[in-house]
Amino acid sequence: MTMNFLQRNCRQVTALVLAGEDRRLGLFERWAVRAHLKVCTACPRFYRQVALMRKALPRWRAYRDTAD
Amino acid sequence: MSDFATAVQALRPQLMRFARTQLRNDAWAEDAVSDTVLAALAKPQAFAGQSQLKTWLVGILKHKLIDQIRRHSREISATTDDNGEEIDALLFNDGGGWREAPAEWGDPEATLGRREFFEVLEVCVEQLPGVQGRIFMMREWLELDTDEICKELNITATNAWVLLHRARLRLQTCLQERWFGKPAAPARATA
Repeated sequence: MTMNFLQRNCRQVTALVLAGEDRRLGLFERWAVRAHLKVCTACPRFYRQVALMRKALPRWRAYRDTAD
Repeated sequence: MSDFATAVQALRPQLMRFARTQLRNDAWAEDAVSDTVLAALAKPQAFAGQSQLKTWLVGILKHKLIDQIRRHSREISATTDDNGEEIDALLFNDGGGWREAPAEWGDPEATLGRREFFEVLEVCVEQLPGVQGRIFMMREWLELDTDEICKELNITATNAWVLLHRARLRLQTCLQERWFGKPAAPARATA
């Protein structure tokens, strides 16, 4: 069975990865991201960058709201 | 002036900076900060030495900022100084592939342990274009969810997601430039 309907380019996957920060992705969207991350060398890095930013933002809030 | 009032006034410039970053409008920011200072001075007993004065004031400020956003929601949602299409075209070629592959940012903890990183992050947030900056701050600093943002600004969820997408992408680019260094050598990207 071909999985062409899940095929996305880097730009589309990047958009989905970012969308995941603000809404819950649909099942096919998540599959498409996962499938792409397995075969791409660039997007997994972007995925990790987004994870770092996600971790950084609560600390940024704490930093700016409390630091002198 | 009481010590309390002096301490509150001393924090005014910081509150003003936060208000400006959120609202992107000096007059509205001035109103929000004035409301905050007045509210604080009206009930000093509410502070009662809990946590830090700054934390307490920022808490009040956040509410006053939401009031301002509500009051000016029409003007805010009518603003279209968003040249967001550019950021996507800058990063991707026509086939949807990366023009330059993203770099490896390394161990997050090594980065997040550095105070300077958050100073850079702050600059990057301040530099987001108006509309994107406002909505990003609403989401990540005021901690509103998309539903609340849409309600306050009277925009569609799709509209909000597009703006947040561009803001986050811009932030990534800014952190790459200002903190993580030059983009890595082009890697093979799947189009």
